[in-house]
Formats: sequence, structure tokens, C-alpha cells
Amino acid sequence: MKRYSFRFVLIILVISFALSLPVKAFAVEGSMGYQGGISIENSTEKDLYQYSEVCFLTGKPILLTGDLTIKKTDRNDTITATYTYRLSNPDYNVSLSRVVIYETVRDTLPNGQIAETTTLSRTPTEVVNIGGTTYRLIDAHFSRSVLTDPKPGIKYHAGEFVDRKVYAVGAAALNNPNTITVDMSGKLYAYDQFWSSTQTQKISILIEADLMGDEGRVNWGGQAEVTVSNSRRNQFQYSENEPYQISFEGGYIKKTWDESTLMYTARLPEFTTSGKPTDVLKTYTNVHSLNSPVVTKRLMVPDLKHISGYWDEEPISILYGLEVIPGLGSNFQINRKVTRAEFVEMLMNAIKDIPEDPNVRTSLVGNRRTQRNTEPEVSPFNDVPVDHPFYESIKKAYQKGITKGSGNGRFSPNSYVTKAEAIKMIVAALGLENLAPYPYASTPFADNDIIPAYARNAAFVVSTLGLVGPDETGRFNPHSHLTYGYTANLLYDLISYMGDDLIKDYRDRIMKF
Amino acid sequence: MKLTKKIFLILIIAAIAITCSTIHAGAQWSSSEEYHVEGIVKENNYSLGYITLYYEDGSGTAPDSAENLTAFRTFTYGFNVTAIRDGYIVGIQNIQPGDRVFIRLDNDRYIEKISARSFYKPVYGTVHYKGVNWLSLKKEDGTFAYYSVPVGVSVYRNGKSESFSNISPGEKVKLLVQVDGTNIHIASIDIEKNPSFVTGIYRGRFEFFDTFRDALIVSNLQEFVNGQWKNSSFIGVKSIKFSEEYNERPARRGAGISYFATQQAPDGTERIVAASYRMNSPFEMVMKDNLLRVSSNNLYLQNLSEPVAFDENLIVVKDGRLVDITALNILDPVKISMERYNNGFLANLITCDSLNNMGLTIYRGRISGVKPEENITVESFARLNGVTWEFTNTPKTFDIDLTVTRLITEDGIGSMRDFKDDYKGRTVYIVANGSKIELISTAPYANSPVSGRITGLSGGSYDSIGIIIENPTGLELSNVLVYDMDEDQWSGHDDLEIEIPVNAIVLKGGKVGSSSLLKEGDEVKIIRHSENLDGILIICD
Repeated sequence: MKRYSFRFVLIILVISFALSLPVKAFAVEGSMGYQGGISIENSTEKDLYQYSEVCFLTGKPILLTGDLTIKKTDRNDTITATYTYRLSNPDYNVSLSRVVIYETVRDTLPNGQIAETTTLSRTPTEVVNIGGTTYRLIDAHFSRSVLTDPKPGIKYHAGEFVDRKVYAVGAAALNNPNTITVDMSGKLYAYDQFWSSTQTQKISILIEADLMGDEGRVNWGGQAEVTVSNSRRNQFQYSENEPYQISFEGGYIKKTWDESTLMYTARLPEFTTSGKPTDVLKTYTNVHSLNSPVVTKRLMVPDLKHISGYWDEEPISILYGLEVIPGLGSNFQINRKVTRAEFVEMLMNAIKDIPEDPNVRTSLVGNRRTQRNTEPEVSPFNDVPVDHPFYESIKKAYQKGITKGSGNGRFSPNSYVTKAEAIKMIVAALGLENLAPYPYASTPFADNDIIPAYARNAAFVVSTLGLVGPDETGRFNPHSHLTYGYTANLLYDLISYMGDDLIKDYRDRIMKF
Repeated sequence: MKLTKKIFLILIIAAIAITCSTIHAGAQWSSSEEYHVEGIVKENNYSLGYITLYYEDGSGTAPDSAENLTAFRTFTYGFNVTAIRDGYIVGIQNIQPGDRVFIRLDNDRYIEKISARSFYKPVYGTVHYKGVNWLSLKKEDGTFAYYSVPVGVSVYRNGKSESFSNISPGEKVKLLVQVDGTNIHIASIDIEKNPSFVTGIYRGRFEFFDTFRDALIVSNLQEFVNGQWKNSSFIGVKSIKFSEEYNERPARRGAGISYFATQQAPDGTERIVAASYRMNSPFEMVMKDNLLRVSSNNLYLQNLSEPVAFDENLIVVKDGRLVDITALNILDPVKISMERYNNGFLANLITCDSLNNMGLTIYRGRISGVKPEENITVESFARLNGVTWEFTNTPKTFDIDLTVTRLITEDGIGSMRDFKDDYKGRTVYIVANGSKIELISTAPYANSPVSGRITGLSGGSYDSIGIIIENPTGLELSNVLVYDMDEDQWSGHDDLEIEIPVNAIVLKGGKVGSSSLLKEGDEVKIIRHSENLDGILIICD
């Protein structure tokens, strides 16, 4: 009896601990809220964000800054998220207080995609005070729908949201209220993965005011386009050692930081000095950003003395530091051919696991009993034993659809990997096969016709993304075996693509065009 | 015997295999279902009326496959073929190489119907050169690409149609292109929505390159404003980050002077987008002139007898955009910062602002009639010509456009909806573009011209992100010249402080606005009130 009580208490403690400790990770979808603002995570306080948004209620853009707190709980695929805002702008004597509770229902579709539908859990509360005039939220509607496509290395998100808010202005009579209606409709695009995460929202805002002035009712309207974006970034930088008498050469530093940008273009009436709207529309354009301090992490300094000065020393060193290439470096041979098992191990190390939403506390109710797995582990391939040094990576790659093996239930772990096989796996990891025409693309490579059909689309995609280019004779050389030197370059380019190039597509280009 | 049997068997199998492969390779006509073919377009020859597809597996680019493709994957078409591309009915000539197509063939094996899906991909870059129907693009990876732009390609700016001729060098563009072999088809060109103009051109003493922050560390910072080096408001050592789009970095340790231009990055911060590094020169000069000619490494100015050399480190900014020197045209007004070099001059940076034909005229007249929200008539008027008024003793009617016409009175901004008969008899300024009024101001008569360079602005206030809260109410002017109406000549004068009333008229860069348009370094002509000497008309060159 005593023993059971102790176990029970222990289980409760573990559950409580799990409930109170969110998984610290990188995912950003939802961290800006859906009010046209940007946020940066507070590095010391949990669930707290530094936050900014632009308020158009007065007919002139006013930047509000302050704190946003996000708390989420996940119960049986229903996420309840509470967003609490405390904002102000002393220049215009503005304060804002807002609490919005969203309820998101997740539905996993037959193809593995996840559809999320978000609505308001209850009527939000919001009070804005601008220079002594109070704007109180009296009616609100919100709807958001997002489709998530979880691919092995990246989760892609795209969706829309609409938000309509009606404010009562001042202390107007109930039968003749002064109101301002703010209608927002937004598109959002995001991705989550280990090397960077970005969420961008393009929001169209319509503002309509129906107010009682000294000379009767005054109606005015304006429009704004707001683009907001949050990114988490990683970069690597070499740091040289200044002392001569030191046991290791300079090493690489991984720098991580968050960038958040808000850009708006608003067309609003010009107001007379007495506050009446005129017919002349003024255009306001501005950019505001929040950036977090850089967090640094030193990478392992591998033993690469024997390739010191080699032109690809940098990517090789960084990949060792990131533990993408297993080992300590001393046995690295530039021209050694890479086996299929070794390649999968390095590829899985390169794409890493996709981080979870840091704000979600997952309820463990219903999962209290730990099932003891007594069934023996069965390898998906008959030529890869479960005690193979790279078994876990090969199994994971198989489960995620990155590889199907070499046919007949085999993986051929000791065969040398060809370029065609390697890029097929890389494109599968990125989940970007759809960028090529179905069923088979014609690639720009001079040896297009000898690229195996199964890899032709992948070759088209890596060429489009700039990951693999033609050799000096314009060829792809699909049957060539990958060397360690080439593989290191390829995986380093893959990491750079996931870290830098995707951000351009999801943030910079959306903002510019 | 056994061997003969084997050979016979092999031959039969080979014959069957060849027949099967032929059936697979070409469209066959044995049943209605087989009248459909699909694949990727290799060639669409509208003149000869055929379309060639690659093989189903994407192969068919090798030269030796051309014959087989002609035999098995080429389909002819006549007139009146229904073609659909990306869901729109189009002429069949619009089917492009690289399109994925579905083809229905008729009984005579001609194309009866074709539907296609395009595979355009975006290409981003900065316009390097531009011709009548082509452009050279500097892509984001630093490589250059040439694109022929056929007539009719859609060009968009801010989501609205734009003419290809209005694309300028230095502008960032997005091209939707479909590339297949040597065929490049451009579907559309989008010009950057909110162009990121050069926000500042600076020089400073090179302290070091901060590799950790990826920033240039400089001291004694000066800004190039309107053709002059002006001490920055920032004192001491300044760190300015490099843009990720700009790949050049200096050595960590160095000396001399660094010239650099900055732009706002996507994260909102000001970053270096071009930089050059020079040794300290004992002789530096700035000058304003007109460009006569540019050769491979020299440029020639209208008022300078010697050529000015330049090298790859030259920074050129035209209309706020970083450009190649070839983007400058003959007689462009340029402002150059240069140094003595080998008995000649070496240019460090050039800025050029294209002349704005403002099309705006300033009138002053007494209102004789008002048709609210339609027009106003003045009984006679004076027109500003240079800095003097030309009187005309005839009435003139100006049109009101409520979406354009602004009113500023001694109380501030007014509403044109309130501009009614009570304004009859009042004398006002009218800034008009043709007959359309852009601004009406009730400011008093001004006839005391001065010119100079703004060295300070007072009274204005801005919020935390630089949005104006209060317009400046005064300015300080140096390099002052005062115009003597009687002598009809300009003469030097001490620095001046000039009040700007709320209903002053400010014209700058082709725009009519308030005093918030003015910036330190601007060269202005100001027509002052003859008594209180307030600046009533402020015209920025």
C-alpha cells in the first residue's frame, strides 16, 4: 500500500513538473498574436514577450509597445491560448489593455497534414485610452484557419485569419454610440525547423469611424497594409585565438537571435487642426523592429590538422562542431567515399528534429500509465540490424519517408551513396518535391537523360533552390559516388539554405514584393 | 540446333520488346483512351504548327534523342485549337517550353485540345542595366543575368500596372520566369513595393572591422548631405552593421577613411550596403556639376577641365538608389566627393538627383467667387517667377479636387468642405498643377527673398519611430544671400533665423507639404514676409 502511494505521489509530481515546464524550443508560429504586432521572447521570464503594434484608431498611426504574455494549454488536440497585452505610448499619452483567449482545434487530415481552426473562446476585453479618450471594445469576431504540412525536416504553415473589432468611443449614449470598426484580414505563412523559424503575416486593415461631432455625425475611413514577421536565426562565425600558447586553434561560434519586423503603409484622411477629417488621404509608411540579444555557443573544435588549409575546411569543421559528421575529425578523409548508412546518419544529424511550440503545456491526462514495450525491435530493412551504429538514423529516415531503401526490403547500408540518391533524400527531407512538374521534370543539366527517373525531380528542385549546380561541363553526374569532402559541402549548403535562404523567401521577399 | 533455337527465341523477345517500347514511347490510336498524351513541352513551334514533348520520364534533352522525339513525341496542330494555360483560354502560341501539358488528339492525330500548367519560378535581383526591351539583373547571389523582355510583359508597381520604361537601374525586381533549356519566358515583373532607398552616405575614420558583430567601427562620422560633408550628430566611435545582401568585408585591422552608404534592412536597422576604404588624403574636395561623359575609368564634368578618375570602389547613388556609374546620363546634375590622386582627381562617391519637373505654380490672388467643392475664381492674380511676382490683371478660375486640394489657414489645417463664400474677398496663395489646386494658404503677402542652406530646424517634435508630432516652427540658415528687389541682385548676409508660420508653403522634390519636409543641409529659397520676416514660401532646390 505504502509502495503504491509513493508511486502515485511520484507520478503526480512528474505530471505537475511536466505541466509546469514548457519545452524550450524555437517554433514561432503564433508568438506574435493576430493583432498586427511583433514580439520578441523575454530571455528571463517565461511566456513573456516584448511586443509592439500600430494603432490606427485616431486616424493616425501610433506605435504601441509593451508586454505580451502568452499562455497555452493543449488538451486532447484543443489548444487554449490566452494573450494578455499591456501597451503604451507616452508620446501620445496612450495606454492599452487587452486580453484575448483563443481556442484552437487541431484536426489531422488523412494525408498527415494538420488543419487548425481558431476562434475566440470568449469575448475579448480591450480598453484603449488615447489622450483622455477611451476606446472600449464592444464587439469582436475572430476566425483563423491554418494548414500545417509536417515534412521530415521542416513544418510548413499557411493560413488566413479575419478579425473584426468594434470600439465604443468616449462615453456616448447607448442609442447613439460613437464607434470605430477595425476589420482585419490576414494571410500567414510560416515554417518551423531547427536552423531557423519564420512567421510572416500580411494583414489588410480597414478602419471605419462613425462619430458624433460638433456639427453632426462624422464618418471617415482608412486602410492599412501591415506586414509583420518574426524569425529565429542561427549563424556561424570563426573566432581566432589570440594567444599562441593554447591547446586548440580558433573555433566556430554559433550565434542565435530573434528578429521581428513590422512594416506598414497606411492611407488615412488628413485631419484638420480641430480634428475633422478632410478628403485628402495621407500615406504613412514606416518600419519598426525588435531584435533580441545574440546568444552564443561554442562548437567543438575538431581535430582537422591533416586538412588544415583545405578549401572546404570551414564547412567540415562546422559540421563536426555541430555533430553532423560523427567523430572527432582525426579520421576525416576528404576523398573517402560515403556509404548510404553514413550519409543517412549525417543527413539526419543535419536536419535535426523540429522544435515544438514553447508556449504549449501539454496535458498528460490519459497518458499516465507508461506502457512497457516488451516487443523486440524490428528493423525496417533486412540488411540493417538493430545494433547497426547508424540504425536509429536509418530507421528515423525510413519512418519520415526520407528513404525507402534500395528495394526488396534492403537498404544496402554499405553501398556507396550516389549523388542521385543523396539529393533524392535531401529533397524528401525538405519536403519540396512538389516544386518540380509531375511526374518527371526535365532538368537543366547537360546529362539530364542519364539522371535516374526517380531522382530527376529532385535534381530539378536542388537546381532551382541553388543547392546543387552543374559542374564545369554543365553536368550533374548522378552516378558519381559522394566523397566526404563533397558531402560536407552539400550538407553545409543545406544548413545554410535552411538557416538563411528560407528566411528570405518567407520574410524579405514577402515584405518587398 | 540448340543455339539456333536460343537465337530465334532472343530475336522474338527483342522484336516484342521493341514493339512494346514503341507503343510506350508514342501516342497510339488503338482506342479513344489512347488519344491523350501528356508531358513537358520541349518546343512549341507556332510557325510550323507543332509541339514537341520530352519523354514521360523527363528525358529527351540529349542531342541523339531529337530524332526519336520528332517521331514519337511531336504533335501538329492546325487552326482553332482550344488551348488552356493555367486555367485561362489562350492562343496555342502561348504554350511555353517547360509547361506541363495534356493533349487530346483527333482521329487524324492532330492536336484537338491542349491544356497546360506553367512552372514559373521567381528570380529576384537589382536592375543593373536596362534597354528598350531587355534588362540585366544582378541576382541575389551576385551573378548577373540577361533577360529579353518581350512587348506585353506585365509590369507591376505597388500592385498597379506600370510601364517597362519606368523601371530604373538600381530598383529591385522580381521576375517570374520559366526556363527550359535556352528558352526563357518572362510572365511578369514586380517592382519592389516599398523601395529601400539609401538612408545615408557617410565617411569616417576606419577604426576596425568587428567580426563578431559584423560591423564597421568608425569615428569622426560625417554625413554627405546635399553635396557637403556635415558632422554627424553622433559623437565618438560608432558601430554600423553590414547588410547581409552586401558581401564585401574589410580586413579586421586597417587605417584611413571609410566611405559607406546605408539602407534600412528588413529587420528595420540601418545597415551598410556599399563601402570603400581609402587612405587619408591631404586634399579632398566636393563639387556640384553636370556630367558630360563617362569613359571606362574617367568621368568628365561640365565645369572641370580635368577628368575625374574612378575605380571599382566608387559609390554612386542616383535618386536614392545605389547604381552602377553607367546609370548616370549626360547632363545629370551630380555632387561628387573626390580627392587628389596622381596629379588628378579620384572620385570617392557621387550622388545624383534627377531634376524634378514639379509642374507646380504658385499664385496669389483675391478670391472673387467660390463654387464650393468645385472651383474658385480670383479677380486678378500674381504668379511667382523665380523669386519675384508677375502681376496679371485678369480673373482666373482654379479647380478644386477634394482628394488633392488642401487648405491651410492661420489656425492650421482646414477642410476644403468648409471653403465657402466666407472666403470671398480674401487674398490667398494657390499652389496649382495646371488648373488643379494642390494647396490654398491664407498666409500673408511675402516679397522678401533670401536663399541659403538649412543648418538647423527648431520647434518640431517626433515620436519614437520618427513620425512627426509637431512641425518645425523655425529654421537656421547659413550661406545666406539676400535679394535686393530694387537693385535686382543677390548679396551676402549673416546667418539668419527664420520663423515658419503654420500656414507657410513648403515645396520640395515636386511635393507641396509642411515644414516637416525640410531637412538640415537643404538648400532653399525663402520668400519672407516683408515686415515680420517670417518664411512664407519655402522652396527647396
